[in-house]
Amino acid sequence: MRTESPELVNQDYQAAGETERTSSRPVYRPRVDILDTQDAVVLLADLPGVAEDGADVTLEKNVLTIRGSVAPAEDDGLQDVVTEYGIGEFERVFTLTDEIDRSAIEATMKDGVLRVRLPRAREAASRKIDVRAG
Amino acid sequence: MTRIFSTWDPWQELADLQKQMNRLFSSRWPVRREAFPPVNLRAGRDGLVLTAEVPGVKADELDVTIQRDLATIKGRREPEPLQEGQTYTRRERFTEPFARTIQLPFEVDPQQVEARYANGVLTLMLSRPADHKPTRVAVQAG
Repeated sequence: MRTESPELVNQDYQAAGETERTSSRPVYRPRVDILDTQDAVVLLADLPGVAEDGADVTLEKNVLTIRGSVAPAEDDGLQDVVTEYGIGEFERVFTLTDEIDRSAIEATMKDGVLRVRLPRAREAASRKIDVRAG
Repeated sequence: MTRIFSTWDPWQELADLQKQMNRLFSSRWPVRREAFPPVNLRAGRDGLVLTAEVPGVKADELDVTIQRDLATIKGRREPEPLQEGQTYTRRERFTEPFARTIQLPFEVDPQQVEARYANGVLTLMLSRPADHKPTRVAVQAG
């Protein structure tokens, strides 16, 4: 039985115009899935076109920021016929409402999907186990 | 002619403005389209480059067919298998099987297709059949 549900709360303030920009490239908000378990929160983000070394995850206080950069297409002299997606930067910001063990965060990038595992701090995890046992 | 002020129509101006705004937003606003996968298509004299954003789909789960001037991309992305006690608190990523047919601006040679998959993006290099390529015709002086 779940009691409290400590989870990642997404903030909606990161509308495109409000993100910090270092270039004039457009910034896109990636789609994410968040999976919650007793001992960790797992975040999956679609960052198509981002290379395995092109993603960046930062946790500052309780604000988690994920970023990814897509290499611009080479100028091959072709004409755009259909453009359904833009090429630029991905960025999305989350606020963590739970204590995270910062030293054990794992982030991997594969096939354009970023996976971030945020283990709950032991104190928070054990507190939760106590509640379940009761 | 029933319209007197035919030279200036404020409603038309408004409609034009709206059209321009739509164009502005559709090209610059970072909203992801619903059709999956989203594709970009670029054309040259000798061929086409079609790219599709299919993050997390394994290369061998993608099925591409080319027929005349139609390209079909099919595939599926397996949802993350849930572990014991694991629940989704947010679910935005696409997990349905998908199939999409894209109309190409001209016929391509189905024997000359190069498909690559890298970092969640499928790239198809398509060539115009040799006998369809535009050829320059020398004009003889009469």
